Amino acid sequence: MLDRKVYINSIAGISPSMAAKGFPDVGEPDYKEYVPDPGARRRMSRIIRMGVASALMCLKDNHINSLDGIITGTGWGCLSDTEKFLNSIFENSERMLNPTSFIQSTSNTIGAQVALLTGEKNYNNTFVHGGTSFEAAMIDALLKLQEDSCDNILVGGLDEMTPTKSHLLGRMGVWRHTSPGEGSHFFVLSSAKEMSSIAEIVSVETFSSAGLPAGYKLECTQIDRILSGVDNLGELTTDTKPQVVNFKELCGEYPTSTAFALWLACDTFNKEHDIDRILIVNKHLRDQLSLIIIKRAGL
Amino acid sequence: MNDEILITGIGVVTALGIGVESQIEGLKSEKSGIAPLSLFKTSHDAKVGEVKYSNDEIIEILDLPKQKIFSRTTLLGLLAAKEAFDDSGLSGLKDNNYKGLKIGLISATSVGGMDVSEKFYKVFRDDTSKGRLRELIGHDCGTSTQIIADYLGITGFVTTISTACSSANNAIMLGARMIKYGMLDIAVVGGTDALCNFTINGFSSLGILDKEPCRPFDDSRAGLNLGEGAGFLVLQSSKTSTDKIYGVVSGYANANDAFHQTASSAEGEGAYLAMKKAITMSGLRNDQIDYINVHGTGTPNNDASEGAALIRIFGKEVPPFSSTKGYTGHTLGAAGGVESVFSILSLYYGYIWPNLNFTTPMEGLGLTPETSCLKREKMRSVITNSFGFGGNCTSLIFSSYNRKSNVG
Repeated sequence: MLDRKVYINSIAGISPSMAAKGFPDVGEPDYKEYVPDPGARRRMSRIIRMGVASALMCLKDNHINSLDGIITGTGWGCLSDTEKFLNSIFENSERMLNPTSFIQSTSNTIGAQVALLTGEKNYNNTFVHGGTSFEAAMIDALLKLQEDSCDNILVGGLDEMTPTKSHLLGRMGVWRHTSPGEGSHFFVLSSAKEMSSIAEIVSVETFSSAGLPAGYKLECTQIDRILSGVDNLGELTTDTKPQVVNFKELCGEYPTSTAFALWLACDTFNKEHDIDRILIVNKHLRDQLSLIIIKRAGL
Repeated sequence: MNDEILITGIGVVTALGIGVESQIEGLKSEKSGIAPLSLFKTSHDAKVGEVKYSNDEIIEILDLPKQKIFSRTTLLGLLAAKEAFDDSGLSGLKDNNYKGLKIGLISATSVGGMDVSEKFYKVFRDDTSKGRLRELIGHDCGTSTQIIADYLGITGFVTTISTACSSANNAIMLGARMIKYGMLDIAVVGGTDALCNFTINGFSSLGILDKEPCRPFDDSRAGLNLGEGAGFLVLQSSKTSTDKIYGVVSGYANANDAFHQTASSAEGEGAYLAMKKAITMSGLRNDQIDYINVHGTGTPNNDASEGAALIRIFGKEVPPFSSTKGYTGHTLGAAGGVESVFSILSLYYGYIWPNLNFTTPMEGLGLTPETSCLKREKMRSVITNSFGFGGNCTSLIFSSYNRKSNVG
């Protein structure tokens, strides 16, 4: 696909839905550790806190000091700040409004806050395309990493579930088939293979909402496990007979659940030594279908 | 790799009207499109750049199904993207399945379907079992893009960028990069945003809305006027065939000011880095830049910061520049699309667009934008800047196309 190989050199994530099922070390951390200023912490809505903390965790855990870019994907954006500001417009008849929730309602707030907190002045971008927002962020990073001067990019996918969003999706009948989810997962994508490299990215693709084009062939057909977020794998064929895991049973349904799936895939490489190639298949509600393939670094 | 990214189609809608022709006419006549707000009720005394067509009128123009609900952001985006698509001649290939070319759509928006959602929410907040769910379908930013893709019959890579007011410039940059690395042959790129009560109140709460017509780069500037619109380009790989070429995308860069969530640094670090990196990428000398369409919102902070960045790069030799926001208002996520079209028109037809409402240079900077419409014989390269909340700064450079350079 592209000339320069791209590796995943660091991962971090917060998955409240998975934590609620009893899994350790995946829930919301003590935010004081990541945002020491109590005023700043209080102003941050939940998605900003989760996003900023998981981004900083991803950088800190592997001592990555210089970044060439920060790219985020979010399907729903900053819902609670948006709703808070909308409410204030009605409650205060448009007068004397507090701008904080308006400022924080823009979808690029998390990427911007991470840039502010780390002093990173390089490339910064945010994708907001429903169920393929995170995939688009990854594609942007893969392209940017083709440039000579670009070595490390922090990429994240995140969404928050709010009571209103959950209620509205319930009214639309979504929870008849699946359960609400949310989470924030970040990765350092790098053009350099290091000792700490967990995985190499084989391919990231998105398709029109109609699904796979006729005669589609996977970039790699030697797959050891499929992390699936679709009801039916349809035409997808592999040369192997991989175990299929429904990852949304762990993280719940939300637009950037593939960021969770990518984290789970990397975690699998760390824990299961006979798994070398993983395919992630997903479709969020009626959005586009996406495929991500990664393999163990060094294969 | 493709070294040349050709610009083969343009489309735009703003307070100056629908379509490229009405923009040229408006820009030349030096008449602003800014007027008191009439689209919806608000207690704010706001002057804005409204597109002077109702949603129903646009639905009629586009021949869309009348029973469906479209956000205004979607409708404006459809108008501009369709014009760019038709202009490039691509629509003629639709029945031929676009000859197997990889065509993508990268759009940008900051408000998405908020104009419809805020109507829904007014009903919903009184009774959470009320409110028509159909009105929410367009809330997510990606929906407007998907509707545009379906309308144009684009089934390749489709995505949406939202980096506040620099959104559309980032969409154009990604399209150029995807063509450069062969992931797309053709990219329809740009942005769209509609006026809504949410943004009027948001910018008002920040105290940066001017009740008078905005005065970018003027010492008396007191804030911005919001606007709405959409601007799209068709970019093509030089390996594809095309009849018309407006120019090439010769440079692009995105940088972050990393200073404050909404304010820009005094020295204009983000703006400086974006322009500097884009110029370096283009390989151009400073004196080969013939026009800069500055971000120039009219807020005291932006213009001082951007002005400082211009001086850091160009010293005493700042090229002719202007902000066109006095015509259109600040169209937020669409600004980069709209102003890229204005910059390409400047490059292709040889116009330096005037900066309206300017009388006195900002104290300490001594920068004077062009204040009347100038005609030039030959334009080589132009820069357009878009900066946004979160320190997001993106500069693009368009250069005239030299057909000889493409031979052999």
